[in-house]
Amino acid sequence: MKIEVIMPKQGIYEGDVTLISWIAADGATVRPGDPLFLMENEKVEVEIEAEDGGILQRTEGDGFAAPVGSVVGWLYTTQAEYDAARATS
Amino acid sequence: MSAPELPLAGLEEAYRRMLTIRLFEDRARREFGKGDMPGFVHSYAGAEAIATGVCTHLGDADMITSTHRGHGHCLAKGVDIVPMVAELYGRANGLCKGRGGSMHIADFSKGMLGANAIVAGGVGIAVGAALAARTLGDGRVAATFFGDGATSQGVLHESMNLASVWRLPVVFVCENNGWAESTPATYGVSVPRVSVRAAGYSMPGTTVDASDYEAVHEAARAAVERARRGDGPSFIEATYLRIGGHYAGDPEGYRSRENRLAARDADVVTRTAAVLASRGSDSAAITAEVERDVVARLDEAFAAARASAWPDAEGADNFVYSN
Repeated sequence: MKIEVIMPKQGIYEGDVTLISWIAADGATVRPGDPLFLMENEKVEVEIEAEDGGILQRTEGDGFAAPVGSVVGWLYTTQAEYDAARATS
Repeated sequence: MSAPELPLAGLEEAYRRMLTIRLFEDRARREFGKGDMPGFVHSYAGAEAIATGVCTHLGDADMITSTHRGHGHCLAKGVDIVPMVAELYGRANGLCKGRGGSMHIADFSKGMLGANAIVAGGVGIAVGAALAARTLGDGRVAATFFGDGATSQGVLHESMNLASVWRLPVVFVCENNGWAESTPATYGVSVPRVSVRAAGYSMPGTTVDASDYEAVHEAARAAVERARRGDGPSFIEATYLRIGGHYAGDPEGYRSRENRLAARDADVVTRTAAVLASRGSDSAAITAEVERDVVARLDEAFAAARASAWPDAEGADNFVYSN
């Protein structure tokens, strides 16, 4: 199973947000609450934590700017799923 | 002094309601992150015992007023999840036809007179509702929920004074989480326990720890019974620690990590599950059952809300005037 990692809406701001830099490594196993990346949201820098656990695949890099809710990665339940995703991306 | 133990079935029922609120709030916060829900949401996580413990003594005809943090009050008062979620998304089939959103959600059919974006904004409405009940002599009771920040607002003084002078059937419920948005109560409130102020209005005041469901339940029972008897208002201060920020996405730069972790330790939902287990209840089975049922209901509600129609722009001023 894979679960999307998004740049979440924070407060009332609904414009573009920026993924400043990843904190968790690609391929790292993260647990809910672990810091994933730093995000800039209307002049405020916030640390986004994992909502779920799993093996992280980053699909967007540092500096990626997009509307709130945009997908920046995936969390896979198993190593095989992660490896298969890496092989095709 | 600890509150009397509830019968096991009663505590199990309270646990179901509190867990339902928690599941709703966790889901709402998460869905909010996707960016298609307008405005703000403020989570009731951590405060579940307060709405649940008060509203369990109220019927549909009794009335409550709520705060900006109003989802828990809605659910405790029996409001249906599906039209609630449609309202969060501002859709035409929402409880307020999409005009209220999270912070102005209301359901008069359940006596839920409204969330309110104005700090202390619901207090005067509840006192008015209590005046109506007393004038009509219909035996209804009103309860008003507000935060520690509201205790610094002038309308609370006026409302408590008038309620006392007229012996109105109203319960003032201060949900004290120690933060008026980001201002600590230790900085902004003149007394360590706001319940002492009740004496200034000749009404009983008590402080309870809302990580203990039975403490809230007992304080609310006494206050609602007193109001029902016609003996007038009461003041309950229920202390709790906010799980999460003031609003969904609040980075909480003003709050220590210790204070955030303490909120997890004081979590009334997990504490009540432990109390139930210690008294021989199969709380794990109840948890699984409620999770299954509520998650299915939430799946349905969020999918339905996203697929629902927006209000008609030409009708923006409908429902403003009685004609």
